[in-house]
Amino acid sequence: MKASRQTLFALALICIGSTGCFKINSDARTLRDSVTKSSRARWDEEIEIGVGAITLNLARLGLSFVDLDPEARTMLSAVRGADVGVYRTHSEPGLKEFAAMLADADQAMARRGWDRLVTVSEARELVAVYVPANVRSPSNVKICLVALNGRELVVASARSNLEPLMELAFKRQEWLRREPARL
Amino acid sequence: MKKLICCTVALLSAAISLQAGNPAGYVDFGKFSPSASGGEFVEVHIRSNLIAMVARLAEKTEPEAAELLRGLKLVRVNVIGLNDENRDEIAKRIKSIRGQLDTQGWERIVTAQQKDEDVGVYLKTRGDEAVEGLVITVIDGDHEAVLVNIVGDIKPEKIAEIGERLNIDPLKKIGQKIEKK
Repeated sequence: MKASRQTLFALALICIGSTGCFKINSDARTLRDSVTKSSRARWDEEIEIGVGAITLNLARLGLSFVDLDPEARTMLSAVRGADVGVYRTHSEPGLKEFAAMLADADQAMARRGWDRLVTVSEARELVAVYVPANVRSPSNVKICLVALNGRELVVASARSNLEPLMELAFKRQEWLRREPARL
Repeated sequence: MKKLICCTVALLSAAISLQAGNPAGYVDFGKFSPSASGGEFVEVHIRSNLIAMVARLAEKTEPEAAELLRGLKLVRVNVIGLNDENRDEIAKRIKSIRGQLDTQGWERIVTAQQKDEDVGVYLKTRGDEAVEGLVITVIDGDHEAVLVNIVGDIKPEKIAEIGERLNIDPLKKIGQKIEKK
């Protein structure tokens, strides 16, 4: 009896770990917490989804019976895991807070070994993308991003194999160079 | 007093070691933040490990691009929307960066002041063979300022190609001029 309980517990742990447990991972959580704290507003969770390896493989299996665009299939096969959280606030953070939010997010992410790669901000929007400072292998690249648009905050993270995606990007670039008139 | 001297020495040596860690051709523009009035703000900071990884990925499909990328160590781009609040401060900072480059052995290869546009392009060269760093400063009228720093081992004839690949207009033009020479 005790052994079967332990097996069940272990299975549950494996399931939670591999499906994503419908919660965002610790990197995305750190990014979310740093931004929400420095915004000085109260944020309500709208949705949080974490998709792990098992869920993604099931999705791939299901989609193998569907006539899907080959590029979309390549993109799906490259993804190893993804987490998304959407939050809403009643008091929109002021534009003055953007600098503090970025600085706090930088600090919190740097402690976990992440660097800010791209930042874009205009009007009420702010997007920042982080990558691990020691990224070396393209086969399992992680990124984290935060996107603030007025009262809505989106925090996402993804793990992906960059090789097929880059191949796709280069093919696209080549196609655009060959046929610019189609644009 | 001893403590003060020790602290000063420690800070100085830390500053020197940090300076030593930066590759030749790197210029510290300082920190920029989004403007409080919501103007445009773009910051891109691509480090050597990421560039090397993309170069490896590009080897099969785009060998020329891969070779070009392998020469780069860092790409930093800042685009700052100008408004009444930050215009003077940004202009001052760009003036200070230009002054710093002039005194640190950078070669100013382009100074263009047309209508509202003020463009400065600087190169840090190693002999006649290679460019170690490139800085572009642009103040585009009243609406934006652009700062670009590209660090690496760049062949002068490849500058236009870098401009094409990274879509940096002043680089495309300068590269064409260098090729003509």
